Amino acid sequence: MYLAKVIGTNWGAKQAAGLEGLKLLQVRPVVLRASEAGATRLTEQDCALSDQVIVAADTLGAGPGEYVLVATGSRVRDVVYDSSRPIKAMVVAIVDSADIDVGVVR
Amino acid sequence: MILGRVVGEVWATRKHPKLVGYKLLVIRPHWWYEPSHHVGHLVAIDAHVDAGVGDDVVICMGEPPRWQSEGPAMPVEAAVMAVVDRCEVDESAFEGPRPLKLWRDGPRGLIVGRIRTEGAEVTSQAEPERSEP
Repeated sequence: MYLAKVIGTNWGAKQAAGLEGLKLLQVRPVVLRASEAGATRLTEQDCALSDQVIVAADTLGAGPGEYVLVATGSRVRDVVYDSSRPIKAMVVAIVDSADIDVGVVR
Repeated sequence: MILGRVVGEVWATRKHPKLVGYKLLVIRPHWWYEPSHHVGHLVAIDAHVDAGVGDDVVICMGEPPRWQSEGPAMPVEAAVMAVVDRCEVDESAFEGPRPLKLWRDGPRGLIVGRIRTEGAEVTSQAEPERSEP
């Protein structure tokens, strides 16, 4: 599970069987780096994002700009959805805030 | 299982119902473990241990965390299994083609006693110095 920021939504006119009715979000994982001392909050603008874009399924209703907790793998998928869905990554929580002690990271 | 340090906590109101009531901790893994997408962190649930920011912890990945919490029907990949008081590693592990790496050493780094195998002499024995966050 990792933190990520929603940057957009995917729309497909034709979707694979099992993807119907699912919202597919484009997310960029949060990269935790060493930085200046002092606590920071994830919701601030200066949070580093990965260059990679992951497409994650969502039923919680996350929107662009929000931070989410993304879980991957078929075991999680079986719990959140069911085994018939062709999904690898999915949103399991929408982050209100994340207190990350940058002093500890560094 | 991997070693990591708790660097933060996640607060979420809208989440999968099975996650309600669990602490979600942001973990910075020590050593070799590279999370997917090279994001430098992973989020683990803390069901029993009650770890805090600054603690070094043992993280279990995969199926056991799901059993440790509520059974197999948990949407989690990682859970905090233990808080580390002390960790000893053979010195040879820091040499060779694939040396162990600490992402941060120093007074608040992971407590590592480096042991020499030949003669079983303990060379650099960092005593636990656990300043409270």
